Amino acid sequence: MEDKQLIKGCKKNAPKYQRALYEKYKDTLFVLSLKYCRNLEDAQDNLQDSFLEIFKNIKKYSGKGSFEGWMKRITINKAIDKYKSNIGTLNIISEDNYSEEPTIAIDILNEISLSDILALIQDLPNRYRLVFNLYELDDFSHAEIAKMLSISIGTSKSNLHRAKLLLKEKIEKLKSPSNKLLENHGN
Amino acid sequence: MEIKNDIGKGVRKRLEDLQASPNSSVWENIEHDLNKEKDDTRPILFWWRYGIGLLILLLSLLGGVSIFHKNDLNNKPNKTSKTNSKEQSKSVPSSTFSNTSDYNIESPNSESDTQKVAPGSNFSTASNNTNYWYTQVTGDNIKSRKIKNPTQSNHHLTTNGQPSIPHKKSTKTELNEKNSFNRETSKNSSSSNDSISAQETEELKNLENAKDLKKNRSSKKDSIEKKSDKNKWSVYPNVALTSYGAFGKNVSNQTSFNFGIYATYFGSEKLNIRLGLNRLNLNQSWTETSNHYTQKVNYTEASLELRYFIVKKKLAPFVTGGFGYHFMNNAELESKIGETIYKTKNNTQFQNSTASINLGLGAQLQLIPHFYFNLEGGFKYLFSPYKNPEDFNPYIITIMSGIEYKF
Repeated sequence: MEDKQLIKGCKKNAPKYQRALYEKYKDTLFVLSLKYCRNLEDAQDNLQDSFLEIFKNIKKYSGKGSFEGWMKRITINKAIDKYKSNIGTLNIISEDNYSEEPTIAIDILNEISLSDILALIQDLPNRYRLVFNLYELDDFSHAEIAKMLSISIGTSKSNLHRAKLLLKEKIEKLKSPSNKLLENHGN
Repeated sequence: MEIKNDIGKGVRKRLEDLQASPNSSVWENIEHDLNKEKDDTRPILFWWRYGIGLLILLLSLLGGVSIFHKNDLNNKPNKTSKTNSKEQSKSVPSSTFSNTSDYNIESPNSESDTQKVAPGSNFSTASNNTNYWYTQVTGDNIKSRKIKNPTQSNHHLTTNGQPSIPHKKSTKTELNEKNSFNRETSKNSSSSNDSISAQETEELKNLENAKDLKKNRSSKKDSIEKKSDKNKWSVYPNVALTSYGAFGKNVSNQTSFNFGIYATYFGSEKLNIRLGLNRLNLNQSWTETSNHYTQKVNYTEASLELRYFIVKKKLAPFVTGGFGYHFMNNAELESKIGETIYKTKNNTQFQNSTASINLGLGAQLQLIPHFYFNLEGGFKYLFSPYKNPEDFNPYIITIMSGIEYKF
């Protein structure tokens, strides 16, 4: 069923179309929720809240722009609302200190399972995880992130840098035989 | 050599392959919450759709009743009182009828009347009309007598041998004059005094009869014209050219002929209420992804409408407004896919019944008494005819005509 048809049906609160819309986009939005949330339960809660918000506000969707993008934005906003209160203000480090981006060997990254990578992201502190996801995975600019998270652009950059450092550190630990992350998260 | 990549880009690339599905309980929770919201808003939605409709209908009916009542108050009692007062004031004291109208009873105090019958005056000088027609009412029969001898008439019209003052002529005097006149005609002048009271009574009775007769005559005069107005009911079998359109969809092949009947109650000349029973065979076609579809649906419509005549003339324009309730009898979807035509029952797609708001504009032409020719256009918007909301909202446009019989 086409989005246009689904939207019209959902605008009339028709259960059939609501269910169809959910079935069509549940996986996409669930994966998105998994990246932004700390665990599976939070991700499912976020997905649930997001769809309710989508159905509630679908009448406001003007049809301009991508419908999927509009739903993703709602999902991200829901996650941000959930963790926003926990985002503290960090000491901003100078740009000189994070002008050199943390890198990692492609081979190492490829050897780690997807679930482990996801678990590593979920384990990041809220303030790092949100900025990392927004900037690296969903292409928001630091200015946009700053506005969304009510932080400064400098804080956004700083958080991103720290997020990458932490990830690198965790991945390297994961690759060592004695790592405990695998035990905690499994496959 | 080890190839290094930015950790952000590397993670992003790996996560592009991530696939996951939520637990089925997520949808159950969403569904539960949605139903809860619907339950909360359902009463509002109900009133939005049907409550407002009922409210408008109620207000319309109340307005109609009010106008009917007002009309009754304005017409019936006033007519009676006007007639009574007119007749009482004009006819009771006088029995002199003018020759211009056999039953036009003149006022006793009118100058012309007094001059006509003034004692001592010559009829020829009192009026240019030398021949006066008096009406003698006996029982139900009316006899007219022509006075041919003014002198004789003059004599008998004088009661006491004294000239009476024209302006102050009493009813009794006038009656005596007439009694004298009657006595003269019956050659029974010896018992004039004894017979005065009896004659007066008889005269009054005669006058009453005359009044009734006048009333009957005048009502007969307008009876043909007004009889149909007094008729409160009508039936109106009709045939309609119907177009089944849809907002939001480009449809074709949408016309059909339908028929129905209206029963109308005339609360007043201008405002009527009518109940209709119409059979609607509707169809519409559209093309979707190179396939051709024809939707056919059959409704029986029961409608309640108000009709208001803007101007009540021989050709009377009117507007209509009201509600219809459509009972779905049958629905069929014809799909032409390639060269093959598939016909499927489509009843489950439609609501078993649906409401509509009906608006119309038309004109009525009186052909002969009791029979009227009607031509009217109408628009009907159907509320949620489908079980599941569709991309389009159907409406019906009709051009309806028929002969209305008023009884």
